[in-house]
Amino acid sequence: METKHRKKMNMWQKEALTGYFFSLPFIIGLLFFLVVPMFVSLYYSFCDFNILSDAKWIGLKNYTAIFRDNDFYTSLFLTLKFAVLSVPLRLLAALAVALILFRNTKMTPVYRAVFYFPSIVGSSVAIAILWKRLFAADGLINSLFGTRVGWIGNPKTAIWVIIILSVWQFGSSMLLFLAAMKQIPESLYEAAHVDGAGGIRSFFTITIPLLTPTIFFNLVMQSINAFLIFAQAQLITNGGPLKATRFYVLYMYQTSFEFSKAGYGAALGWMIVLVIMLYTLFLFRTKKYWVYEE
Amino acid sequence: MKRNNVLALVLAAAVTGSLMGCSSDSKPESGSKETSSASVQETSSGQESAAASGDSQKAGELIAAWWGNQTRNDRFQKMLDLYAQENGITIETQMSVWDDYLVSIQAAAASSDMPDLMMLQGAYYQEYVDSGLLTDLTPYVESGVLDTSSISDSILSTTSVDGRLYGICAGINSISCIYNKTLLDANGIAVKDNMNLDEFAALCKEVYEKTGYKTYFNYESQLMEYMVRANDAVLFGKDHIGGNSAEDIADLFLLIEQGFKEGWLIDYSLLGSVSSVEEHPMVYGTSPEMSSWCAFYNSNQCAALQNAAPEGVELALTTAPSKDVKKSAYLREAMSLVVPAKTQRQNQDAAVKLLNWWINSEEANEIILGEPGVPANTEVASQITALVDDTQAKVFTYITDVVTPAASVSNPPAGNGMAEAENLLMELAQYVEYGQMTGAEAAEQFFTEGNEIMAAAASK
Repeated sequence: METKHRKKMNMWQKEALTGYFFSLPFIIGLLFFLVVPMFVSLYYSFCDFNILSDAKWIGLKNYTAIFRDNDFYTSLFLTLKFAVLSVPLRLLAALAVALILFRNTKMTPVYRAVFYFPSIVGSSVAIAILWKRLFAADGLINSLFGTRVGWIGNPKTAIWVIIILSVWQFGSSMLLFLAAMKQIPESLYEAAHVDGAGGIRSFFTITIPLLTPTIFFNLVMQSINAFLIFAQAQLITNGGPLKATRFYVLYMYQTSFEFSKAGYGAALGWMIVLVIMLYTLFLFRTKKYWVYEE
Repeated sequence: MKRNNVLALVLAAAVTGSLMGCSSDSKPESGSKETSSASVQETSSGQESAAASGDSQKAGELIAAWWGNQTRNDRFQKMLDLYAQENGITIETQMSVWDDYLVSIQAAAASSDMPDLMMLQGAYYQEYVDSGLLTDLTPYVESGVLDTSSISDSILSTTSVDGRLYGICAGINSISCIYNKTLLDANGIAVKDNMNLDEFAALCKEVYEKTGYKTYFNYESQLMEYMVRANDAVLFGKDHIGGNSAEDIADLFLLIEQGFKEGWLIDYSLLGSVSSVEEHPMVYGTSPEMSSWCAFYNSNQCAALQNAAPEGVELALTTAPSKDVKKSAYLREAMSLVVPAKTQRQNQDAAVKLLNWWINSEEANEIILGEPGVPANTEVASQITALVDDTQAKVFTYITDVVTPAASVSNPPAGNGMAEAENLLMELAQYVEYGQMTGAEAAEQFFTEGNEIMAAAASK
């Protein structure tokens, strides 16, 4: 009897150990590449740090300077504007294409792969350069429409180039919508059909409400990503023209590395964390008004 | 059952790994080491140099870093390969474009992992010397390891701080107006040296009227610094913007405004950001309205521009315009080579040996052929004059015959706030280029805010 008891414990311990072992790489990565740098940056945010020499503690001076900084407000509002414009458009595109791809034809897997492809490569440097060339005044987009608009050089349209790049990468959201739509029981649609509801009516009363949890999830995740837009803006427009695309993280980068004010840059970093937290909190608080929970 | 469990665990780990990889949409792929004609370059090269040093713990391996363009990269690589072969060591190279270079060096400095030999501009020495990041080369000169006998004292002074030598000039150049000679000759437009602002504006107008080619201003900061010297002002002082009032620094803004009003200024809204020589409208434009007849660059960048220019387009150099070219013109150390102090490998001696060969040997300079500028070593300069191609010969002639007679002493190094003030200058210049600000307004704003920035940075 005792031997059996010991054996059971060993097996359980072994399984737990295996679990720890397999998640160790991820945990080490998380610790060294996320947690430790986070706390170091928190320390730097209270310092005057120009990277080349040691950091000097100055307390809350960086944070008080942020509130007096015009560029902080402009870049924050610009980033908010980007998030508010690009995320809904992206979700709309994802939803629309998911609806179309819902029916299973022979070509559907191909189309799904094709639409998912942009979200894999979209955040790469190569695509950003390609985009810059596409939207140039003598680029492909202008040739197609026979126009000569400087999409990238015009302060009014520059942000839309980056928004379109972001919306183009809707593939990942689309897959999530597809998966959620497949989970909606057919019986609901049949019942609605029996009661005389047409396609559009059942879309708005069955599909959308049951999709709201997925919409909510996508909204939160994509908004957080939108706040952190950096690489594309730097490569395509470099914050220009006339600061029309100088997003928050780009401003942070400029402050930390080009002006050698890394302490101030770290403080900016923590401010955006705060802003994102507040935004997410707002979304979660208003969740109960529109998201259908089972 | 057991096999299924293990398989499930492995798959779970793989999925977790791939999810980590595609987690954030806004993280760029880490840049490769190839050069390309956009600011792709080395946005994460700071991380790469850290990774690289982890591998190169052996003695007899040096890391050299510089910024530049394709032409320079090719030549430097060839030259370093030659040295590596002759001396039985390996040299790892890190190339970058200017915009990203300083950032990557700062990152390397922060991780105490700078290259063994790298390029830097004299204007930035102060910061690095203050942080103890550059090796004092004076002992090496005194012991004879570093031979500076053929380098003029005035050039050596541009790379010295407080009387100690910290770097050697890798090329002498001067800011110049590089223009499309083929276009102007075909339309019978003459260009003369030492133009003043009015003559230059008239020339731009003439070019536009006869050919439809416009004028694109780049390098606004260096150009302004150059023009402001004519008003006896040093643009970036230690803790202030030069000049007694905004009027002293308004020349460039007013010229741009004039271009906008008279119609010969290029329409900036048609252009994307120009992050490298190869993207400049003079060589990149596909139609007259998107092209510029001239470019403002340092004289040594003429080679790269010529390489990037379309077939059949020949470039030539003249002085950049100014109220008084004799006061404005000066010989710059375009870039200098320094030996960082806080490196992991502590290869300073080997690095200085390489530096000595780089600056003084004929075989090194036969490969470089003065791409970064006229060699500082006057003997070497005269040796290779016969070997350089037409473009470089033009540059050499320009420096020796046109600029040197007209040149005056260069500006002292700027204070710490220069980067931020320069950024403000470029932003304001953009507003004038887009016609959203007048030259006077821009000058006023730059004078006020620039002074605040310089003072704040100096008081730290």
